[in-house]
Amino acid sequence: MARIDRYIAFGLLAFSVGYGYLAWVHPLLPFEVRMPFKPNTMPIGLAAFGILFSSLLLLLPSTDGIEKDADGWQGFAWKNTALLIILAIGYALLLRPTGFIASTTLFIVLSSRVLGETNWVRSFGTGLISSGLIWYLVDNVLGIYLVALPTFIGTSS
Amino acid sequence: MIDGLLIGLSAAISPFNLIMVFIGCFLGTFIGMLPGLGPMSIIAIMIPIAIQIGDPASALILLSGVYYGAIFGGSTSSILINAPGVAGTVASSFDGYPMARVGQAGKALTTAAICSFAGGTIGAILLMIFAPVLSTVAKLFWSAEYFALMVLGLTAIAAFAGKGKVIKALSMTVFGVMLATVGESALHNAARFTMGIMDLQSGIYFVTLVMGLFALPEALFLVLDERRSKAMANTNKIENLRISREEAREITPVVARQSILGFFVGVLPGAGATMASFLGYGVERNLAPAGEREKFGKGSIRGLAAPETANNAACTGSFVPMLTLGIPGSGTTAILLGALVALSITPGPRLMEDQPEVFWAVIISMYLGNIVLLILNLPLIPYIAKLLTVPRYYLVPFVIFFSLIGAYIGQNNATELLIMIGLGCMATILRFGGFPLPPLIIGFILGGMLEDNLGRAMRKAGGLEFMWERPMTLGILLLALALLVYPILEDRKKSISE
Repeated sequence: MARIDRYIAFGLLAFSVGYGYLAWVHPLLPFEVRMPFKPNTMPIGLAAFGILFSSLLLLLPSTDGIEKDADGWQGFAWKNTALLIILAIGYALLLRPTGFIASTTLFIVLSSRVLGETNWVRSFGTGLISSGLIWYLVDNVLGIYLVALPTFIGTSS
Repeated sequence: MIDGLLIGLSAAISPFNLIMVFIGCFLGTFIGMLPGLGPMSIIAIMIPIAIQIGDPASALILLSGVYYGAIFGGSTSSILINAPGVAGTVASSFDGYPMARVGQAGKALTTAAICSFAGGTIGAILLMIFAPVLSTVAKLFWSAEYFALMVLGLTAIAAFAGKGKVIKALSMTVFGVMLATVGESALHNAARFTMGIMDLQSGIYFVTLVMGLFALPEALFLVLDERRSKAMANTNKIENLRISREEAREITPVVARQSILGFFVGVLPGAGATMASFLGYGVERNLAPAGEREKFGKGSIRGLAAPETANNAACTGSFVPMLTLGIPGSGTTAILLGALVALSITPGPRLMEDQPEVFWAVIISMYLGNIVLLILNLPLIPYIAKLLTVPRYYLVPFVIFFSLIGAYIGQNNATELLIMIGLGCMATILRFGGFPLPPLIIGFILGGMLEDNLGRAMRKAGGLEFMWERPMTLGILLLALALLVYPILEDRKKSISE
């Protein structure tokens, strides 16, 4: 089976080819055509370097040992990691409609449960207090607008 | 100069101003720890308060305390949770975070505090001596030299190119520069590579990228690899705060070199703390003995001392063009320039003669900011470092939360969060493949400036001739080539002989 770095190198090669194509077909304004440095000059050069390096990665024999992180894939907690990523995506999608305090509390409570916290009261308290404090600091002290409550309640902060 | 110093001292040292500098350092440190809130945003937030104070010296003292505090706060999150909120502290995470992971969080923070103090103080002394002369020298640097300087900054990637990873490091650098070209560039108004996504019109937001590449994968790895998090929990004893005599001896020349280098890089408008920290890191890596060089990126105290000293010295250096020419050399000094104008002070060549009390008060306030920061932070380090002893089931959610919210408050856009999560998953896969991520972020940070300066230089020269026609450009480019190729060849020779 091919090593993971070969798959990544193939992905980089595909990215560089796609990037190079977009750079090549980038529409230039009439006065830009004769300029020594066009908006696509550096991107075309970068695509060439990207294709060169990723091809070398694919063609040359690997001389480095893969990171220790990759050792023993079977022992990894894939399920918890996937759940955490899903929770982060959920947090991103809920942040605006449910407001900062509710979405943050929910994220802290659920993700701490996923990682082994068993006490609901403690996780809920930690989530609520920390989200309230951070909202107060960011919105009221620093003056950076952050929607605190759900939109259906009608108040924005 | 002595008269000026006395004028500055009399303006700066009063109980009220000392309270101001304490408040500034304290607020700056704690707000600076929040990813996404760098010195620039914090100073911008503090300007209305500074204007309310009325007295220019007190206002500047407050702002300079906030400035230095925010830089140290940024280093703290960089070292403790691998979440550098600003570009200037990215290089500190390369060795600071590995130190924290092996139970040396306290020592890493102490090193950062002392090196920042030394860099800032030596920078302030150099500022007093060289300010008028350097403002003239800085004007000699054109876009061609800036381009060469950016290339020199890219040589820092050599630190991650050892043990057969040269091509991987180079491909990551190219990938980083490619990401920097997304959106509008300073030279061209048309957006590139946005795929019709409006949120990418102004490019990929730095905090989104850096959190996606560093903080989020780290949190995911803590969950993914339970052995790793158990090992981390075992090493999270914060007993080791002191720097040993040997370590002090080791970092002293680094501090001396990087204070000077950082200051002079900071003087150049547009170069700033980020450039200085990468350059400092690369230079020290190349100067280190062979055995020590391999420790870079894995928890080398030199690797932490170099960027910490250089970025603080550069921050001080960036005041030279602002105070003497009225040109803001960085985003932060641009905000400070705005604050000075709001306080009815016009920085420029006549400032030193017309309002010496303000000029010298700024310099004295930098000294005060550095001293107070050290006094305030050294006793707090054991408590700050205890953040790492928070149970994993709270530490991981909070690292993810702070990364997400750092990206959100900068842009107020939920799409940034989805981009960040995507980048985090991509970075985790890249780590599995043994691809070093620091070259990607170095390429991204320097990529935009690299393209702008290359474009200006090529338009001026009509092509690439400027590279060999301008002696200073050629010299810097040859130095960059030597710094990149020599350690790689040496590593190659070593691996062949092994």
